[in-house]
Amino acid sequence: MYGFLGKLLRVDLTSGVIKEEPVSESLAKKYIGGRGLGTKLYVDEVAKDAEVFSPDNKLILMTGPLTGTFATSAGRLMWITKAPLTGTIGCANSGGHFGPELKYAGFDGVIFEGKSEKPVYLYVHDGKAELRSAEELWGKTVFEATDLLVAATDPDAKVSCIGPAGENGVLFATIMNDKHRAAGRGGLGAVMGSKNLKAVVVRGTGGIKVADKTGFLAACTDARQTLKDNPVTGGGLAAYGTEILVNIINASGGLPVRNARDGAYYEDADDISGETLAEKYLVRNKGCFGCSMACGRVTKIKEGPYKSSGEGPEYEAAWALGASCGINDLEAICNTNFLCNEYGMDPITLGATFACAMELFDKGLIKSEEMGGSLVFGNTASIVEFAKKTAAREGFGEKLAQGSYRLAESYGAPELSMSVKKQEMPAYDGRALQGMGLEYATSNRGGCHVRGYLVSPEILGIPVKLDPLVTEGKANMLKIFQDLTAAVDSAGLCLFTTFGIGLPEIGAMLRTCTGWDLSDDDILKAGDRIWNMEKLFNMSQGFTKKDDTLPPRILTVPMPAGPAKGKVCELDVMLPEYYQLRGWDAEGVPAKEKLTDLGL
Amino acid sequence: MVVRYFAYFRNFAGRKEESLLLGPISAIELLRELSSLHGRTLEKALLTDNGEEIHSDLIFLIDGRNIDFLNGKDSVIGKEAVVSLFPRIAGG
Amino acid sequence: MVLKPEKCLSCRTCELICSFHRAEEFNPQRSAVSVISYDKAMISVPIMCTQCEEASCMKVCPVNAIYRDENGAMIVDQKKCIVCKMCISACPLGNMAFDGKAVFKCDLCGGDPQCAKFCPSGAIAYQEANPSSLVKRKVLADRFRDVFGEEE
Repeated sequence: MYGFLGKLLRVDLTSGVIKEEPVSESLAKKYIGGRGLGTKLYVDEVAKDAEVFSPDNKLILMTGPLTGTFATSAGRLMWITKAPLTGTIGCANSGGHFGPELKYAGFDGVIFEGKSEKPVYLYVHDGKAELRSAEELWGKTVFEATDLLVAATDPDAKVSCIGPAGENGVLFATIMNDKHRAAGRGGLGAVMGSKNLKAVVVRGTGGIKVADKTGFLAACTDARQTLKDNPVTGGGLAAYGTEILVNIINASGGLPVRNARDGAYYEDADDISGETLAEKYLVRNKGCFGCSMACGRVTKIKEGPYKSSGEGPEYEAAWALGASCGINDLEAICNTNFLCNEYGMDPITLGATFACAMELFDKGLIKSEEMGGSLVFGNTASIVEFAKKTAAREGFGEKLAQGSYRLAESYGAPELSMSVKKQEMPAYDGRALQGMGLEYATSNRGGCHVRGYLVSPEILGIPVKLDPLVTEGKANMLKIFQDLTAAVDSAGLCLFTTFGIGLPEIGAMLRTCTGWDLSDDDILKAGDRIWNMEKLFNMSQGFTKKDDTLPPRILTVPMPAGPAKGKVCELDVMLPEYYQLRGWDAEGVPAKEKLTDLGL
Repeated sequence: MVVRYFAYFRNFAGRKEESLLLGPISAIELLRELSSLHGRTLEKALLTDNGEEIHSDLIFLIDGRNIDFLNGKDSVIGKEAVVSLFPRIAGG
Repeated sequence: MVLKPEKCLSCRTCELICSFHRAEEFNPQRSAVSVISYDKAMISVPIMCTQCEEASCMKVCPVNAIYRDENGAMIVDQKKCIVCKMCISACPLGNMAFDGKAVFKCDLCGGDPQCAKFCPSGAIAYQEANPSSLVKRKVLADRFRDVFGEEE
């Protein structure tokens, strides 16, 4: 096999037995790799009724055929299991250098099963793998554990690990690699913690071979040049990072304010924008493995109460901890974001859960005695304080650690959770971006923006321009985006490459790398197959059409001001069309012919 | 009207925003005004080389609405409007 | 080669293309250039052969397998090399390496260094050798201009 190493590790944490298994090339060709192949293994192997935190559940780490090669921004990996936050398929992507190093160590992926009696970590090095004690590491932050693990193994080792949040079962705990890169959403870090698995450490000196060396180099050179020549991927992301979106989404009236209660235009947006970050706190920009776009922010707060340094924040985090909480202090937002990386928590769900608690407090549903602090809209210091409490599940942090849906539900007001399938929607209001409303409602992992990023056509004009306020054309575009994204995630590429390159460039890299005779249509069809496989898993977990919805606020409360004034998200118009385009019936159930056509 | 600049445009225009006693005025006319006010670097980012069309990488909002979904370069901007000018950017 | 660590993204594109050019696989271990990252200091530094004027590798080679080519690069003549690895010991900068079969080093890709060609940020650039330090002096002079000059 080209692109692949052709080997997986199967690690039984209960018995401590580690086995090596081949990767099936026919399966890989059908599901590409990464997200697709990893999910296929998961749904085939894990019993449908396996409790998320039980030893019966499995946790799969998978790279793509392009991961670690010269393909554009191909440093990606995928973690797959059932998501504790949602109960849907849990599937979280990360960049950095860890994924490529796993392949240099000789493996495409790792399947973790069972549960270790005591804390352990897996050390993979040049074709070998061993479980080692992590008792000394339990309780350490991501940064501490990473440094200790590098010291204990190899100075060039790469580390993926959980922090205290994952150990403590915070339902939105992340799995962090290279310290600052997060497999962020759905709470997969809590699954890792439930298995007493603290970390995976990898180090390899092997290489990756491709099928058509000349063709692959030409395809990669072409894709790299296209990205370089594009104003977004060749300049904008490097200069301002993802945070550049704050002002444009806000100006378009789509930046939800105070739990989306106060519309979607934040007066102080510029204070928390990418421009301000670049002007005041940016030390330098940074790229993940093999990435020329380099959107990563290395940032430092030099003095004051929030003195700290780290990476980020990304746009979604700045919104969640900022506009969503009515907070305009970028120093506090940066500091809290760094803490999220250290403790291993998703800042999107954390910030949105704070915002939900703040509204519950405003409504008098939570009393300040119970809160043990002042988590209220606009209280800057509170986000740092309660981030720590949440990671430790201490005091009111115990409730926050469950995410906004369970929090709001416990006060009898689940409608105040701005979530879909119990996962918080990120930084775009579905009333102002109709297509994003449809994406949230249909994403296989709940409220999520990176399964079909319709912000691209609706606001940024990439690759075509679609009016954000209309419903027409959204279902069709969303299906294409979701299918393409599934393919990109499976190949091992960063989704951001699609701001500059499309299926022809991606197809050329994938074909010359693997040697597979896949047409561009075949690749898109593989994406469709992956999407339907995930959907079938969600159906097996009891999800139905009634779950493909949005919070009542987005569906029924008209936007109070701005360009989308008077608008609600017209999901009832878009959803039937979307189901039809997917080849699903009116209840959102895939038709038999559709599944047969996809080979499912 | 108020004109707001974002990202690189702040460097090109030397400011974050400005109030102008203009309007009603078409989008393309406004861009010509701004170009003559702030010079060639900004002009190159706002207009095509011949000055006839809006630069394809400019995102032009009038009160939050993209002119692509209004009347394009002929979209009319009122005296009280807020104009937001962005280069082509993306994130996520 | 001109290295500007302050521009380095730590993406290691240089390691990928170098290993592919030399060994036809993607493998940082077989790259003649390495990016060393410092997390706390928040900087990454690309390191490669400096093609020393007084090259220890060449001096120590017992079979005279190392020579300077027309681009100024120190080249290992693999036909003469007996893989004694003395050059690896002799290089004070760690820029000679052994890939399991042969010793290797940066050969400036015959005058078209791939790392410089593909470096996305300009942290690695290939320029004609500049015998003076005028470039750096100019940078310093620019600061005086900025402080005392009249230009806005």
